[in-house]
Amino acid sequence: MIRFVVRRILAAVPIGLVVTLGVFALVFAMPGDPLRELAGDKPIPASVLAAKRAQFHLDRPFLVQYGLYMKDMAAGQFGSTFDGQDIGEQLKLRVPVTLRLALLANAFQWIIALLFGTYAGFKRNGAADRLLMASTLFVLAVPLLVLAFTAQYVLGVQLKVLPVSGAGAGFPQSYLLPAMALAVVGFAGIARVLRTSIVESVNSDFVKTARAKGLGEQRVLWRHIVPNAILPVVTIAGYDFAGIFAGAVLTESIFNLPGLGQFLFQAIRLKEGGVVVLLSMLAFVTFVLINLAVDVLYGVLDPRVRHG
Amino acid sequence: MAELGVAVAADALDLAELRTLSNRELLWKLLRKPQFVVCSLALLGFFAMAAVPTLFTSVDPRSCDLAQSRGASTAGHPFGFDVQGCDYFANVIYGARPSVLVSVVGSAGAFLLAAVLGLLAGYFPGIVDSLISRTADVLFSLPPLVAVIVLLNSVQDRSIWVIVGVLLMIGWPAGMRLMRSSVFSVRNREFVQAARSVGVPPLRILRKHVFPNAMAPLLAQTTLGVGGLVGLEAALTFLGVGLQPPSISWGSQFGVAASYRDTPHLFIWPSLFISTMTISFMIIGDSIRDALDPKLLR
Repeated sequence: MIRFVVRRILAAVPIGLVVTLGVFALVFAMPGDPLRELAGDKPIPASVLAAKRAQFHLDRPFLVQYGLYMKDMAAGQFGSTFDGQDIGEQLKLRVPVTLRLALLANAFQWIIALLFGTYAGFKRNGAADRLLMASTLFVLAVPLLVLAFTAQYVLGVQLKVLPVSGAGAGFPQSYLLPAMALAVVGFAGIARVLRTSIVESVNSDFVKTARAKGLGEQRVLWRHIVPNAILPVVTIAGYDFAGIFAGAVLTESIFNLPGLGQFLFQAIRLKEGGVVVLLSMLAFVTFVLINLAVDVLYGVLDPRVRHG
Repeated sequence: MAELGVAVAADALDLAELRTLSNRELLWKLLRKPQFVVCSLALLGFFAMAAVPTLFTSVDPRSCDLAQSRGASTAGHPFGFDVQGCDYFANVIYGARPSVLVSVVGSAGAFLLAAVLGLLAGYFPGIVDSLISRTADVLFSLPPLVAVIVLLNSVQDRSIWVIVGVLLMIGWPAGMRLMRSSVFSVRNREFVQAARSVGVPPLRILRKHVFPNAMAPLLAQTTLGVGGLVGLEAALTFLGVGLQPPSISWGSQFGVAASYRDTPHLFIWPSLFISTMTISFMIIGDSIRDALDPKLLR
C-alpha cells in the first residue's frame, strides 16, 4: 500500500512540472506589459519600471523566470502581487472561503445524490425514478449561470431569505446560495451514475441469493446492493472535486465571494504568472491527492482491487 | 461540466458493443418520439433566429432611446427595454447567433478532432498513441477553465471563431479517450482482420471499417455535450473573456443583468431562451443515445 502511494506521488511530479511550465508559458506568452498596464495612463519613470521588473524577475529570460518562481515557491516565499499585496496573506484569507464553499457544496450534493440515486435505482421506473431522470436532465441542461441568477433573484431579491452576493453575512448564510447552485449541478451526474450502477446490481446473482435466504428488502439494499454499486460513484468523486475549482471561478464571480477562483481570475487578467502558477499548482496537488485517496478508498471498499 | 462528462461516458461505454443501425432506421426511430420532434422544431427555430434575425423582429437592436432605460414591456416591445433603452426582444433574438454558432460549430469540430485523434491513437499503438495520449494527459491535468481563460485573455479582438478555436484546442482529450477505447474494442474484430488480410490500406480500414463501428459512443457524448457549450460560451462572456461589447449575446446580457437585480426581465428572457435551447439539445442527445442503445434493440 505504501509503495503504491509513493509510486503514485512520484509519478505525479513530472506531470506537475509540465503543468506549471505550461501554465507559466501561457501567461508569459500573453501580449502586453503587466507593469505598464498596472500604471494605466500615468507615465512611469524608467528607473521605477526597471526596479519593479527586477523585483518580479520580469527582465530575465523565460526559463530563468520559471526556475526562480519555482525556487521561491519551494522555499515557501510566495512574494507579493504586482500591486503589492502579500500573496501568502491573500492565500490565508482566500483558502477558507473556497474550502467552505467546496465542502458545503459537496455535502449537499452527496447527500441528495446518494439518497435519490439509490432509491431511484432500487425502484426502477417508479415515481421517484421518473422524477430523478426528468429533474437531472433538466438540471444538466440548464446552465449554471441561469440557475445561479434564478436562485439569487427568487431567494435573495424577492424572498430576502439569503444574501444575494458577497461574503459579508458570514459562514453559513453567504455560502448557502452558491453551494446550493454548485450542488444542484453536481448532484445530477452522481445520481445518474449511481442509479445505473444500482440497477445493474439489483439484477445480479448475489442479490437473488440474498433474497432467497429470506433477507428483508432494506437489508438487501443497504448491505448487499449499495456497497457493490457505490464503486463507480467513488471514482467520480475525484473528477468532481477537480471540477470544483473550475466551478469556483464562475461561482465566485457570480456570487462575488473573495475566494481562490476569484483570485485566479484576477491574476490571469493582470498577467501575474507567479500567482497563476501557484494556484494551478494548488489545484493540481489537490487533484492528485484526492484521486490518490479515492484509489486507496477503492481498495478498502472492494477487496478485488487491493494494491499489492 | 466534469460531472456531465463522467455521467455521459459511463452511459456511452455501453454502446461500444453495438449492432449497426442504418441511418434510415435511426431516423425513423427518432421521428416516432414526440419529444425529439418538438425539440428539433425548437432548435430549427433557434437556427432560423441565428441565421435571419429579421424574420422575428423588424426592430434594430442597436437603435436605443435612453429615456426608456430598463422600461417594462409595452405594445410593440414585448420584452421591455434594456439599460440603454434598446428594445430587449430584438436584443434577445439577435443574441441567438453566438450561442448557435459556438455550440454547433464547436461540437462538430470537437467530434471530428476527437474522432481523428482517437482513431489514430487507438489503431496505431506505439509512438502515435503515446504522443496523442500524453498530450491529452497534460491537457487533462491543467485545471479546467484556467487554460481557456488564459488563452482567451491573450487575444485582443475575440470573435466567435477565436472562442470556438480555443475550446477545441483544450476540449478534445475527453472525446479522444472515449474514441480510443472504442477503437480498441473494434480493431481486432473479424471484419477488420479480414480487411487487413486482403491488403486494404490502413487509412481506408480506419475510414470504412473501424470508424463506422466505433463512433457511436463519441456521437452520443457529443450530442449530449452540445447544450453545455451554449452555457460555457455565455459563462465566458459573462466573465468578460468571451465576446466583447459591440456584439450582442446572451452571456453579455447576463453580465449587465448582474448589476441591475431589481430589473428581473433583464435576466429572465435570456435565461428562458438559453435554457430552452440547451434542454432541446439535451433531449435530442438523450433520444439519439436511447435509439443507439443496444440493450433496447433486443
